[in-house]
Amino acid sequence: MRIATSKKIHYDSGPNLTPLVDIVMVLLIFLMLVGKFTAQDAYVRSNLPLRQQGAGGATPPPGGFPQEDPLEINLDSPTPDRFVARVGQYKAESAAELNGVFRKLGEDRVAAGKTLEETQVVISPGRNVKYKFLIEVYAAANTAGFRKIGFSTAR
Amino acid sequence: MRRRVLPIAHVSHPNLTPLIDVVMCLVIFFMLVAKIGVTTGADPTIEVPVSTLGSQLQSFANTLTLNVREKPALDEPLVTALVDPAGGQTQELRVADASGKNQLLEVLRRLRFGRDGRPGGTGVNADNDEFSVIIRGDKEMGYRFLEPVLIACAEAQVKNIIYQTRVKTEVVER
Repeated sequence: MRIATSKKIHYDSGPNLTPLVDIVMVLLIFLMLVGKFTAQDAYVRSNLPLRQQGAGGATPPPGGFPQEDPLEINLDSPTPDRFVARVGQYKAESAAELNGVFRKLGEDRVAAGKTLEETQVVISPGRNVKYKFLIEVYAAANTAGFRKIGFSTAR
Repeated sequence: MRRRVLPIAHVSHPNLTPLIDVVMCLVIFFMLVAKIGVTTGADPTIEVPVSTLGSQLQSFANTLTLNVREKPALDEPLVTALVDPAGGQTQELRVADASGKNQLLEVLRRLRFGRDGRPGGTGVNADNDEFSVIIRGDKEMGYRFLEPVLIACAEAQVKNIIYQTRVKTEVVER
């Protein structure tokens, strides 16, 4: 009679990992579908000009409110899909022309001994000018180095 | 004669440990990168303008996101915002209702100056100088719809106004 001994070979297979992998895969698919990457939105902070009059309640800076008239940009839309920006003797009807105009304005300011950071810019749009054109003009002014930019009431 | 038997087959399963390591890394990555459950009340149906300017906002604390678009058939803006985050519902803020009240201005004043809506005060009436407004406007709306919102922000003495835009991505055409 053969007696079974303890010399049988045991193969330790370890715990079954298949359910764990299933759960982790489900979690991964859930996060891939539900999550949203954050790189698509950009936030443009405004730095409003200071004036003696008007609402806002700003405290005057150490040197007092700027007395110089701000740089006013008149923005109109002759047709719904285009804009015309006029400032002084300059005129721009596209983003590229805007950048050129603001560059020239910047040079004029610097030549007159003023800095761009202290120059106050007010965009004066027509009632029907589209919001996307306002942002375009705002971005062009900011890119050129003007920092204090605001909007006036609609014309 | 000794019977010969087939040898016992010992099939070894594939080693799943590296697979679990990689999948765990991916899960942790998506948990950190994804924004789940964070709502600012932004209306996803509004198409914001594109801009090359702008930066990421690290924190939405102490901000109010205003969704601004044209109101169909009326010459006034449709402004909605998540005024009460606990409620989870955005509400419309009229710039001029039937009685002439400006709901938007009232809400902005309350958030800016505390419960009493007036400058000064302590406790629940304390002023909130760092309060910011994020304007999420439809790119095709006219300025006449944005103007009342900016006027309300100015009257409420909101010092920080942030315009939400989309990042411009260059497409190279060949």
